[in-house]
Amino acid sequence: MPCGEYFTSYGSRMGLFRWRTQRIALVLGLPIPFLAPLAVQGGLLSTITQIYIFAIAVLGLNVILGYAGEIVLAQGAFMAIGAYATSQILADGLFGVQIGLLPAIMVGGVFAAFVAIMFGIPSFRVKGFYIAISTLALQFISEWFFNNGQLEWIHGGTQQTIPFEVGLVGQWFTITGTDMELYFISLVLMLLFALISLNLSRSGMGKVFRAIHDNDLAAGVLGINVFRNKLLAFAIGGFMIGVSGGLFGYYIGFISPDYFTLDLTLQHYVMLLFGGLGRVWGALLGVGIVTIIQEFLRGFLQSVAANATSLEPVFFGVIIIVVLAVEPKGVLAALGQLKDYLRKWPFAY
Amino acid sequence: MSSDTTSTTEPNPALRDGPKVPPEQSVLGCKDVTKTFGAVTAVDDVSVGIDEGEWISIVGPNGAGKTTLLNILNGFYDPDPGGQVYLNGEDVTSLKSFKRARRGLGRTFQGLELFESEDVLENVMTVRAVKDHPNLLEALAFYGPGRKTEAQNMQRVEEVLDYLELWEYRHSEIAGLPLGIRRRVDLARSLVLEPDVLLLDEAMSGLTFDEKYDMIRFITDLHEQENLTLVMIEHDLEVVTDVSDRMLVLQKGGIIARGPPGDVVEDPEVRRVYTGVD
Ligand SMILES: Nc1ncnc2c1ncn2[C@@H]1O[C@H](COP(=O)(O)OP(=O)(O)OP(=O)(O)O)[C@@H](O)[C@H]1O
Ligand SMILES: [Mg+2]
Repeated sequence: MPCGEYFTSYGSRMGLFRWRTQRIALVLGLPIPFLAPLAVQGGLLSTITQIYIFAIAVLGLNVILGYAGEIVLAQGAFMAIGAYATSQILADGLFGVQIGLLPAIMVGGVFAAFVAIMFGIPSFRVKGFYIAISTLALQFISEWFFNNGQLEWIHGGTQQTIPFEVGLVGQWFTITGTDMELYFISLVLMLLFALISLNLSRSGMGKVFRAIHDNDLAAGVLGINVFRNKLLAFAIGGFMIGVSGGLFGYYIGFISPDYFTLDLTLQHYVMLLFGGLGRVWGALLGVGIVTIIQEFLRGFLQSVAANATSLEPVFFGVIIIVVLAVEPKGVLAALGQLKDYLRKWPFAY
Repeated sequence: MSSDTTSTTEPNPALRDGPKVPPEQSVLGCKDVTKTFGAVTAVDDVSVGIDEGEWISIVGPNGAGKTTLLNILNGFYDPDPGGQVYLNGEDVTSLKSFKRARRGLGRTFQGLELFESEDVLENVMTVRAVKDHPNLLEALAFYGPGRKTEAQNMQRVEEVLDYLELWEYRHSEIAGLPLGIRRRVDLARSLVLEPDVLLLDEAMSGLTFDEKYDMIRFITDLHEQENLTLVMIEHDLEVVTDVSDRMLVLQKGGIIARGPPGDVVEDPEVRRVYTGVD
């Protein structure tokens, strides 16, 4: 008797939603974020929007770290590049042409991807630790660069205000940056990149990334172009992080190097580790839960003392330690185990 | 097999000739290849020429340079300057190993080198994706041709898993599998690239008698049915004497004898190397 899984066609085996429960969850779950603004407004809606925006950056990190296994510590730098590029393109146009918000964000992503590739090139010769250090250097260079007023002719100004009234594409579909518009733009982009991440993971390309992560020497001997694929992972991840940066800039309406520091990098690492490396749903869950806990904590600390919010990094440190100690594969894996346990309950086998 | 009695006391000169096929015209070959690691000469001036459809076995004691020779043939190591490697009659000395694999050179590993965090199916699918893969946009959208390619790859992989009797293990994690199964996964992984020449590095080492028997059966079938050219490193002389067409004995990096296995194992010099070591 065939027990366990049983697929009738290759197509259904590779589907994203293979089980009936998964399909039901999709049909019931997908409308929720689209209907949420009916019930939620103001600060909370804005917080959820930020969750979507950061989720894009964490999904980008997931491609580089979770799939390809390279430790890149320049999350803030890539987001800054995306944000400043977007801001400049919205202010001056691209070669004088106003291309609108979404194309500007995409071009910002391309800039970030380009820098990511440049810093990925040494990965051909050196391994993990050195990439971590070289991208950490990139992070510091970026903070210095965007803080340096004399380089205004390149980055356009240390602090910039982004106009809220822009065309979505070219000069069409003008938006004014309301909470609702920001919410839906971020939601749609986040879903798009989540889908891309899932596709990447199940396609041959994602498998190749993971193989290189696992055993790059064997991968090379078995016909995998290790160098090219590593750079590809850097490019795809860098692009997503840059897009997130551009969107974040527009969301805040104002950019400053203070938003794109090493703290941001660490925050995204916490979110990804919390959700589980290499898992798209885990990354989304991680961003959501960590952001919400963080908001509560901030409120709580502020009620205790005005300067108590400086304790926030301690909270991140504690999360990292607890996650690594209890379930290094993240909450999603822990939930899976809980599900297994409940299915077998009350029998212990 | 050796008929005259002198051959058991005097080294057989017929086993000291150069390569049977000129390396430049061979399916896989090398010429004047030396490889040194610091003060160690792992491979010492070796020339080999392998003919299409042949089954060659390379034997020799521990540290003789067998694995190193394989690593040079498939491009994992570069030979010291002056040495050349040929694949399908072409000089591939400066061709990267991943490109040689794509031109039909497959291999398995003495130390397995499987992708430990994936299951059996993923291990094999990953390598198959090298052969046929959708372009970037198709992969990201996972639609149209991209999806079809994945389905075709899956079908081919299933055939190979089925052939090697690995189907029941397809969703097993690598870490928990017995060595015999893991060696078969390694073999499956190299087969999905549909190689013309397959290099096997001690594919039988550490296996039980039954597992060895299975492995030999699969390899023999492949050789006969697919006309696969085989280069097989083996520690154990007995395993390969019956099955291979030619045997090549390495010692301290150099070839000390080559020829029909029956003659080679009778050669006094080879026997001395083996009885002295084993
Ligand atoms: N990467 C390396 N760096 C330094 N020395 C090496 C390297 N690879 C192999 N050697 C040395 O070269 C010699 C030949 O090693 P090789 O692994 O080719 O032998 P082998 O015939 O495959 O032996 P075994 O039967 O144990 O697998 C050994 O002395 C080994 O120590
Ligand atoms: Mg060896």
